[in-house]
Amino acid sequence: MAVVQEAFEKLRIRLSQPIGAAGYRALLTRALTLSTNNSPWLEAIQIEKDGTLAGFTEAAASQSLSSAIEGSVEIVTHLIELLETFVGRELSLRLLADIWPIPVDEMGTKEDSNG
Amino acid sequence: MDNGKVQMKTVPTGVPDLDIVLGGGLPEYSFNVIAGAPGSGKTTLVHQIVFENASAERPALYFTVLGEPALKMLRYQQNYSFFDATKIEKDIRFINLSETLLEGDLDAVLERIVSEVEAVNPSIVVVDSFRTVMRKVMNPSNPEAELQAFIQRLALYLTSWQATTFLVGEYMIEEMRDNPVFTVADGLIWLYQTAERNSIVRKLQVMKLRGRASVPGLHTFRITDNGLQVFPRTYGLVHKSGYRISDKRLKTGVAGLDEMLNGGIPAGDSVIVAGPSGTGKSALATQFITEGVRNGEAGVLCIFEERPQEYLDRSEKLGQGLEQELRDEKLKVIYLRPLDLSVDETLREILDTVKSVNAQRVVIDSMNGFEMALAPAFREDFRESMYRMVGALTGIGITIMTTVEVSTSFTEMQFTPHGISFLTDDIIMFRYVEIDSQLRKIITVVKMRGGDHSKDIREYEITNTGLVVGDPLPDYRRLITGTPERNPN
Repeated sequence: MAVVQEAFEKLRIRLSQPIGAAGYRALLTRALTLSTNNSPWLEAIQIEKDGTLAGFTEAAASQSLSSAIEGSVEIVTHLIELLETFVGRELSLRLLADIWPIPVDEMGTKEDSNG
Repeated sequence: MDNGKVQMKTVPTGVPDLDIVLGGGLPEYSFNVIAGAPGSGKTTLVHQIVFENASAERPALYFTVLGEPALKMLRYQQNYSFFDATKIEKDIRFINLSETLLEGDLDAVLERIVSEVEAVNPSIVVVDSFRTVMRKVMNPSNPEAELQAFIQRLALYLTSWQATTFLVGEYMIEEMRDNPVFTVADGLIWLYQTAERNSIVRKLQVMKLRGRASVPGLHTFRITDNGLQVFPRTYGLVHKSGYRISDKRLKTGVAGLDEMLNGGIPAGDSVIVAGPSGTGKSALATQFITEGVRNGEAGVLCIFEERPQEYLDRSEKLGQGLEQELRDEKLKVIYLRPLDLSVDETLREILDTVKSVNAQRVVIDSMNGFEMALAPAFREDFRESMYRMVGALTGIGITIMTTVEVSTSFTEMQFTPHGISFLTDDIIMFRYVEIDSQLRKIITVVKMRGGDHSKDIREYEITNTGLVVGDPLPDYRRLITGTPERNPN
């Protein structure tokens, strides 16, 4: 699960710069809450003041690998969906460009964007 | 350097006509404060400046500090047309300083700003809200000295790094005296928002601007989907084109009236047509504008009471259909009645329209409707505003006909209700008279600054083709009272 922790850390560092640690923490808290509907085991996870996930490794260890990955993906999905809800698709992709595997310019964001 | 003096380049604001107020733009590398109450448009203004100037080579750094959460700011600001998402994180970088401020002191804040500035080499730096930064004063015994030292270091550092800086803050005007930020700042733009009765009036003032001759006073601005739009109070009154008034006379389209005016209205005059309701003021205005466009003089109709279609329908009924002239753009109609207009905004609209069709005639129908369309706060300055507006239009050679409804009793006659006859060159007066148990209409030229005119009081009628001025009424005296007497034979 180290790779998942690493992904969350990248997201935290990247998004905390423009929207602040408090902003990132607010989004992540909401994403985590939404994710517990399908993956109740995520309730054991806490979010630190700076937006770091606490207790993730321990909680994931009690799950099968597929459940652990599914829960992790769900949090990230909700987090990015929330970001998109608030600032739109194009801006979200630009904010995540540094850590996203596909360059923004190749995503055709202008055509797909909401605004 | 030129003649030993520094060449002061300017930074365009991207806000329409704010650069006029700033005397050409903001000085490059200046340290500026944008102040005002919540909701006055500070963040929108600074966003416009940032989007106008940021580039990949010289980006903008936008530090947010515990004010409006950055997430919400990005959410709302992107609805403005100037917000270009492709610039985000490439040309414009947002950095949240909230944690630095919460966990450290002013030195930590400065250190963080310095480190980011050195990494990015920005042309524009914004701190929003700087007010929050200033609350982080650690030395209770001498807070002012600590603040002043911090601001001076910040200003010196950012200027030496060739950045133009904007500190955005919610300040009250009373704070100006004791706050060191205002002393250190090169530029201070204050935004005001006041509610009067049911309307909101927005104004801005450049209270300080080192190195530029800004236009003093309060300037109206509006916030639309395109961001701020400023309406300088001197718009149209400065940078005149050196127009020379000609001796030309403009026909009114009413033969009898032209005769009374010694050939027509002198070009470049401001004419008031005053009279009670139903006396044909709008009909004369229509004839005046129609006569112009049919003789190759484009016109602008500014309507504040009737709807444009009603106006055009009536023109049609008078045999003066204007549809073709509208299609040919020899005539433009401006219809304004939002009830919160400023005169500067209206003047801007009229001047732009006049320029777009190269108009020579303008009709304002009516002054009463114009006054009603203004926000209450602007009605107080109506006389001054009209003076500026007439000055701006006649200054470029436009002939203006303004209709004014006056309430006349049968025992007194009032030329205008606004006491503004001082700003008109010519006054044409209509009124009702009772003659032989009939309500009839008379016309007289009260004033004509440009020369001699008929002293006659003549009867006129509104026919299917418009006003028809008849003969004087020599058999009657005391006509202007409305209740004339037949002259004894």
